[in-house]
Amino acid sequence: MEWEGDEKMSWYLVGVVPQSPRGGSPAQRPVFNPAIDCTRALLVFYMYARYKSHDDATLSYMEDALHHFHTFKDVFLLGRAGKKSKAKANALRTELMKKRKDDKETDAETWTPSKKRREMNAWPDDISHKIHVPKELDVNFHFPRIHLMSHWVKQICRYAALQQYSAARHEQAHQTNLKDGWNASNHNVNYLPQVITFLHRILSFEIGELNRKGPAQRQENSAAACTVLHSGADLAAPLGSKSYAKPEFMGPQNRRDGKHPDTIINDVRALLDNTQDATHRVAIYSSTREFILHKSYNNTYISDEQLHAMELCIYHGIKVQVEGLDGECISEMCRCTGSQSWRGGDQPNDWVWVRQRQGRCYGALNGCLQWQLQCLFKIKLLNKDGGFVEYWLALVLTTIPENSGNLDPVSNFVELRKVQSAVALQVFSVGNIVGCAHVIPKVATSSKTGDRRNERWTVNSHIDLATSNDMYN
Amino acid sequence: MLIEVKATLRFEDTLLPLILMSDGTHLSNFAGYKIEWPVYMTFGYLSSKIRQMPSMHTVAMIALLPIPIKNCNTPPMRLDEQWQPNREVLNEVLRCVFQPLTFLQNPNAERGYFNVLGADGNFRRCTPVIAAWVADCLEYTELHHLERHVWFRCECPKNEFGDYDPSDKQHPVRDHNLYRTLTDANSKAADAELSSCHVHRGFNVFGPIPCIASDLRKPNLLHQMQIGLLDHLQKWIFHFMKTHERLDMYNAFCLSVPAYHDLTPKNKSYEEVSQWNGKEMKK
Repeated sequence: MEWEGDEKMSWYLVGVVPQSPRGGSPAQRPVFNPAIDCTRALLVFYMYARYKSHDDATLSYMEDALHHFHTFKDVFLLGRAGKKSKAKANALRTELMKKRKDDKETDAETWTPSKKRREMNAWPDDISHKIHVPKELDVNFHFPRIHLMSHWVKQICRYAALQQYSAARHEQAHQTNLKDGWNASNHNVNYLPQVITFLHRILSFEIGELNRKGPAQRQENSAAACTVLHSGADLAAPLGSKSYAKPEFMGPQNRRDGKHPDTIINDVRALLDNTQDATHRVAIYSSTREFILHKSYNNTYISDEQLHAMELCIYHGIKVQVEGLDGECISEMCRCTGSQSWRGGDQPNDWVWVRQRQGRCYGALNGCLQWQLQCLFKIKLLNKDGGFVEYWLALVLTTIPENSGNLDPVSNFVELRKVQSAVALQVFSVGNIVGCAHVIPKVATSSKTGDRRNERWTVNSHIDLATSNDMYN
Repeated sequence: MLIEVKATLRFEDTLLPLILMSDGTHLSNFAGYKIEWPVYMTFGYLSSKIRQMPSMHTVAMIALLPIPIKNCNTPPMRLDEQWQPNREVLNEVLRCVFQPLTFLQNPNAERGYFNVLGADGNFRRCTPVIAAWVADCLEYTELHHLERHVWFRCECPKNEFGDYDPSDKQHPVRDHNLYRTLTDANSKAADAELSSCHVHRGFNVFGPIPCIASDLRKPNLLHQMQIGLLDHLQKWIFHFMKTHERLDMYNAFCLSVPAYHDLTPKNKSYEEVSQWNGKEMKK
């Protein structure tokens, strides 16, 4: 289906652009910084436009972002150049190059080496300057779509949030109203009556069903609304449970076919034996032991045999309940398959937001850090009263933010750095995971080869509305 | 418009805001080049959450608009002549579709009201008003007899599109009543005035229907931002990186972006993708 747009594409666009000029000469910075600003302003404007509720503050931010975009958009003027102006510029370039060659031949003998060098450095700037001016005379930003953005703030004031007017709804209606009928027809010249009869029949059934379901659902909804509204204690309870993620697990055990390699891992010894990487093995061993020592009721010493015999199973993903921007619950899937593939694809080791401590620390990251999942497992411990308690644990690659989590002045992103290898891998309880994160490796590597060697990342804070709202606040 | 109509409502009357949507869709290439141009209708008082749910069947198809024949064999000089009847046919069809809303065919009925059978089995007196028409830029210019590549909400001249105008000093909103009187005047001066506003002559179907024609248009996030301006932006960035010799780096970063929920990692850079549509756009 064509309408499914590129919502997410835009979010990583802003993540990618600031990274590309890295390593450029200082002379290029004045060109790249407006480009970054312009891209960001447009995407921030789009982000505000997608809000489901507005107030004066968000509308004024929107206006500011638009103003910002219009201030800096001239950097991209060359991108608007059509074929004609490009041909013109190319002709001019060849002419200038020819002239330069002639000049060089006549003057070069009299120049000192330093002057020669200076001239050589000055030439490309001179040529590009001469070429840009006529190009800029020809191209402009005058197309209708760019103008419409200036009306949006007023439209929101009059007709409320824009999300409801998205064309996605009627693009979607094509499927049920036309395309299903077309597929059921005999594709004849006279297909329209067939489409309409088909549509009529199908819709009558479905709408009849909705009408029958409707009253029952309404009663349920009103009953649920009453219980929440009338008692204050009930209101507080879900908020409290939301703040502590309740992970739901899914993994090879759920399939029960016994064919998956991870299903043979039943205790800690098997996990250690099956871990290829030596550093991972050491980390699992020492941190699990520490965790058990901390959690066991009498803090007794555990021998290696006891630890090795401890019951354990591997899981491949957790579902975390995340609170969205307007209070609704979204469940996010954090995947971690270790060395196995995920549903036939490549091996994802997702990044997660991990809560560190209460209060405001780590600057814009709000007391959370992004760590990469390496392994997910659960262990069974003996409780005080003789019963078993299960603990869900995760082995992660830890990072710490650069610049103590404050935003980079140019790119406005937070950067992460791998910690020293001695404490790089840690085991902790998955209850601290608050959601999925999206980070972009600093050194460009293909996601398929894995980014083990990479030691620096940038947090993509524009990946969704809630994240960017938290970070830029 | 809604507010004005609301003021005239009597006790126990119901205002019916109608949202109309139109968009061309492509059915098949193989069994002949089949495209359709449906008009959908939904009600404005539904919660947008319910309206966006496909399973609730809130959107009903009310008409299939005629699609003009392809003009590939027409010489460019005569294209304008061809477009004029196209617009007239389109407006005539729409006039037939919206005839019930104009209350002309049934003089006995009380003007502006319908008796509508509700889901609870009772009749209600309803006042229908067209509140919004969601469509592409191009369709909209055709519906309103505007010239191509002009802006239909306000009379902003073509060479000021790219300038930033703050919300307090914007160009005047298009007045379709004025255009109608100018069309009816049928004089040379009126024609000159129309063409200065980039409007074609002709009957506008939104005249007799209760609505404000220039306000029908609502900002459309999907078409105007996602596959509109962001697409432009991507092109600009591509050219920008190319001129500053950073294209390799940019492509490498694009390809190294990891997956996230519904964001699948790309496996092609911008220049390798010939058409940014459908599946490729998603990646």
